[in-house]
Amino acid sequence: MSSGPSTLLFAFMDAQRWRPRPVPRKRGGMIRLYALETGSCEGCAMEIAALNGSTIPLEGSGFQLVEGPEEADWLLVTGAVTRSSASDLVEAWQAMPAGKSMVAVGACALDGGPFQADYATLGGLEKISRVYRTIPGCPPSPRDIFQALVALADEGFS
Amino acid sequence: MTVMTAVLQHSERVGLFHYRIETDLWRALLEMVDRTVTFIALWVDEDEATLLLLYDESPILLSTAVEKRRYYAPSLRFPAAQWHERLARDLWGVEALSARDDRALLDDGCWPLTWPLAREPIPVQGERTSPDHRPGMVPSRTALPGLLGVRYEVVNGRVEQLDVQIAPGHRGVLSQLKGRTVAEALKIISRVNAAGFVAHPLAFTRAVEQAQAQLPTPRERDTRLILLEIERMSVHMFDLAQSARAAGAELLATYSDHMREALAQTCEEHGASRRLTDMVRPLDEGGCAISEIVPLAQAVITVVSVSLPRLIGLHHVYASRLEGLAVLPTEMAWAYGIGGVAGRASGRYVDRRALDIGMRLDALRSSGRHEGCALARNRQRLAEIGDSITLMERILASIGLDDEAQAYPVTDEGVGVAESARGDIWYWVTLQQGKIQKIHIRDPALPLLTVLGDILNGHKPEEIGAALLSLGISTAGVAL
Ligand code: SF4
Repeated sequence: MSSGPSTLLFAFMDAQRWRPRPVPRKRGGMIRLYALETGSCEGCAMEIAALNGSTIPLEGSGFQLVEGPEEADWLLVTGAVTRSSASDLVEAWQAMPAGKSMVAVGACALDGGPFQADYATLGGLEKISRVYRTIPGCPPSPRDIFQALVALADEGFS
Repeated sequence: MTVMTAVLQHSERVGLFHYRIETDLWRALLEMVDRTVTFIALWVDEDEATLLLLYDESPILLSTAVEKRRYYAPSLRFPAAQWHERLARDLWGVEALSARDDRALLDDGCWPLTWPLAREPIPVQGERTSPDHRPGMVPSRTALPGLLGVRYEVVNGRVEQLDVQIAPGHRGVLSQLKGRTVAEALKIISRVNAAGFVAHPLAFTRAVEQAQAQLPTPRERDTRLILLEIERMSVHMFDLAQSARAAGAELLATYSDHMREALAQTCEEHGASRRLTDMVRPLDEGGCAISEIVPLAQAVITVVSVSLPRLIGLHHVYASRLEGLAVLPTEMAWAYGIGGVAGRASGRYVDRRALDIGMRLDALRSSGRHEGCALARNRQRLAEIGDSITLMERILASIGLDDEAQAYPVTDEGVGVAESARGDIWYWVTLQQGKIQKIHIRDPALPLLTVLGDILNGHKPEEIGAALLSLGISTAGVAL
């Protein structure tokens, strides 16, 4: 297998060809997203990692995944919210600037999914907060997540 | 005569592969070296401590009584047992005497109960323990998708005394499985770890089938083998993309992303779920939830074969960026029984697929590497994707080929194993009237997490994220 300049050139051309087209949003500027895992199979967190990859036009469509809650507008929660991770959820929420919103990504974050509330798990945002929107699925695909984010932005969710 | 032969002669046989020994013999076993024995897992509850060992490549269970909540620590002899001992202590309140490490692992003071799986858990009163304020990354902020935290000292710009934290990922899976029917349990087990949406339920299903004296038909056996290979390719592509992106090899990451997405779409177009969730089902419910495995396998072979050569070429271009990162030494891989890509890239070429009934052995060609670094792991991943294609082609050429498998008698106890993308997953199950009486899980991340500090000490703090991603670590199957 060639590993020289031709490989790079062809791969670059493929990447250009595959580049996903940005989706125009009806309203608003850049929305910064912070993803927080709270205890699960990690399936939804892996889909968020894929959302931040090259198959979804996330940044071109006005979203940006950021590394800390201090810079985020929306909190994307994955996982069933274990008791041990609950303080991280609270801290992340409190660290976000005003105008923040919370989105439950996947069944776990909504109601615990397959993990019921017990000594270790609180059982999703449903049990602990009213201030959130949901993206269903177990797991939702990166495209499902992206389309739901665009729809939420278009309806002025905040 | 080996030590193990002597031990088995003085034991009481309580199951097909299950032996019970007195405490004295247990201690003697832990003091002697027998190279015919490999440690896989240690599971302890309030009644007994049970070792899962490989003895001449066959699994055996060796139990001894837990007395006054104590037993002698197998970590004396098998260093990989130390995390098992810590997990058992937190969940059942049983103490491993002379343990190498007896710090809490799951119980970080947030639960309302101490020893939650004990017959009589103790309600917690008072404040939670204070958090570790050393530098590092809290579990929610490492580069990994899951909850793995690291704390360390920084000396001369290098990481030292690195500790691993997994407590926030514990969700009480074992307690939720107890007393469930097999079908109910499978729903939870199908979401134990996203890197094993096929492999975890398959290992569980194999354990249940052994307990109930069931055998899959050759066609069902081959369907499972194909699903396992598709999952292996998908997880390898995920790990390739993540480690490439962390190393600044964006084009390689882009290629891996697109191949993985093409794989997911192919699955969806051929009647499977994108990530093969809920495809493995018990034989009583008709087996795997896909009616036509052949067109799916053919389409996957086409999709991956077209792009794999360019992915390999791109990997060559970026190879130097990963060289020497996060080295797992060969001796450590053997001493701790580290499997999967991490073990095989470090000179421990052990692949449980070789013992699967119906396996087309000539397809498992990649012989492993020995450098043990991030580069070697990615080379191994690429080689294994190629092997998966070959294996699926071989299976398609003789799908449903008869085998010589014979069912064991019904014992209501079974051990099942499946070689996932990240290593060998083991389940030990006992049933009572069709419901789960006891269940234990051993995910391949467990031995790797045990030595993570040794692998990462000496790196610069800014290298830790890329190092973790290159190892392909997930804590979901360990924290449970
Ligand atoms: S919703 Fe499903 S896929 Fe997502 S984290 Fe929970 S169990 Fe895993």
